[in-house]
Amino acid sequence: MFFQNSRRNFIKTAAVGTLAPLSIPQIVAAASASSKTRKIKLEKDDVILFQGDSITDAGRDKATLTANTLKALGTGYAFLTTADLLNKNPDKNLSIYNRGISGNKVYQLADRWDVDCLSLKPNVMSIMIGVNDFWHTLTNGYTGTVEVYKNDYIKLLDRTKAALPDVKLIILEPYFVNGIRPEEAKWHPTFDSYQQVAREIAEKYQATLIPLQSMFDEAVKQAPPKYWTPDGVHPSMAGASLISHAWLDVVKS
Amino acid sequence: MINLFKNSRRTFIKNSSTALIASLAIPEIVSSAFAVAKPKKITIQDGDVILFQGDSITDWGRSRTQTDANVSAGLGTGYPIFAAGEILNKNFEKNLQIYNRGVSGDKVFQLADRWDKDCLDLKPNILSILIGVNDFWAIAKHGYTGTIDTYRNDYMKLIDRTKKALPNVKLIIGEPFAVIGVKEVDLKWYPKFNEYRQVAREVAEKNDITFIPYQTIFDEAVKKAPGSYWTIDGVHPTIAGASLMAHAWLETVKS
Repeated sequence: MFFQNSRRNFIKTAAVGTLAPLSIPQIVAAASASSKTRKIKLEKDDVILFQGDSITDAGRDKATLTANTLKALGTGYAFLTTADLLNKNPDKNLSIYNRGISGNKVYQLADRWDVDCLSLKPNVMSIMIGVNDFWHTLTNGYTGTVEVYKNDYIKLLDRTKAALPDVKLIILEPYFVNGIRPEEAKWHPTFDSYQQVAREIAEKYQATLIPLQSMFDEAVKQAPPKYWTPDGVHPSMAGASLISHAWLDVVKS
Repeated sequence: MINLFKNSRRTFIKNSSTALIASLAIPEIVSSAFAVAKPKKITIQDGDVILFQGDSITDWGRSRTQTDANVSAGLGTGYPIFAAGEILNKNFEKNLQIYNRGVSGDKVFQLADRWDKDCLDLKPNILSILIGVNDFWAIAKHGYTGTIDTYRNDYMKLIDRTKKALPNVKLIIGEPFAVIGVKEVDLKWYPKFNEYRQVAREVAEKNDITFIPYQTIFDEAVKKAPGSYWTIDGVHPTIAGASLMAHAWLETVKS
């Protein structure tokens, strides 16, 4: 479906040696290629956990805790991704959970990690965390620094690896989309250092990195920033679908 | 989706140069269901308004207060949100507006009751309708007295009215479906329920409307995993089932 047009374009352009503008799946492919993504293979009976902040949470029902359950997945990228994984892998008996919580920073993940991660024994754990670690220094008087973010993140992953030595990690780079928020200048370059930390940590733990900033940077060349995120931080439907495609691109069924 | 992204730009170029074109990675279930009759594809154009209409399967928890286009809460958590996410993601240059106006429990005559406000006023360029399971189910469940002829006549009238008000609207009709052996759906549904499926198909054919054979799709799906994997009660899809439906829906449109 996705390549209906682009396939033809590729063929046509390949012949004449020029390339058509990037379509979204190509944005995902291009960004993944540049980061030499480690692909993750899904196995039978895998438990997959989405962890993070509001972007992951996306309105999930906190009272519904069972796997693969509609209300428990919210309406964001975790939900879209789960639907596709379940649809495409009917033979694998996957159990998929979302435990993102709005507003969370790394230390708040740590506070609830036993219940909301380790006890679920995920085989594949996906984390997107970091935007609040920075943002709340602007809005909520939070005093944590990028060093706090880094140290907390490392501690969290050390603890995770100790409890679940075989867990496959997926780290989603925190992103911020320029051209929307009035205080945008205050985000740079400090927020960039948080992104750098997330990338370094992915490398340190041999995690699969999903370079969301590169993807949103490409996406805003194709449609206005607000098409992808109404507030620079939280994705629109189109933005959530973009993140979901990026996520699905790193797993092999 | 996954398969579509595995091949990099480079692979495509390489493949094209050797004329080895990888098969389209449409979900196998969907492609085999469409193998018999290819859907008449609808082209999505700039500024199109796309409307999903139907019963609970379409409604599926949408917020009644979020009535704006392209808003996740307003799209519910069923097949329309998955289809909408894909359409918006891929057609970022087209300024599309996507609405869901499914209402739980609706039969055709109840669509008709709210059709001015919930369809015609929105002036859809593409209108997708999935209706019929309640026209049958409510007979046994709620003592509804409508017959198969009621369903046919009401459906034909609704389509006529729609085409009169919106002569250029592109229509999609989804086949009502049920998965036997899962909770609500047992042998008592048959053969009567099949008539409703057949009528939906007739309405589509008589009006040259794109038809999605959801029953065939679920019939294929239950060969891969139990019925309960795809539907919670035989009528309403699970997340996996809703995703499957969205993939089928997306097969009917060209971007």
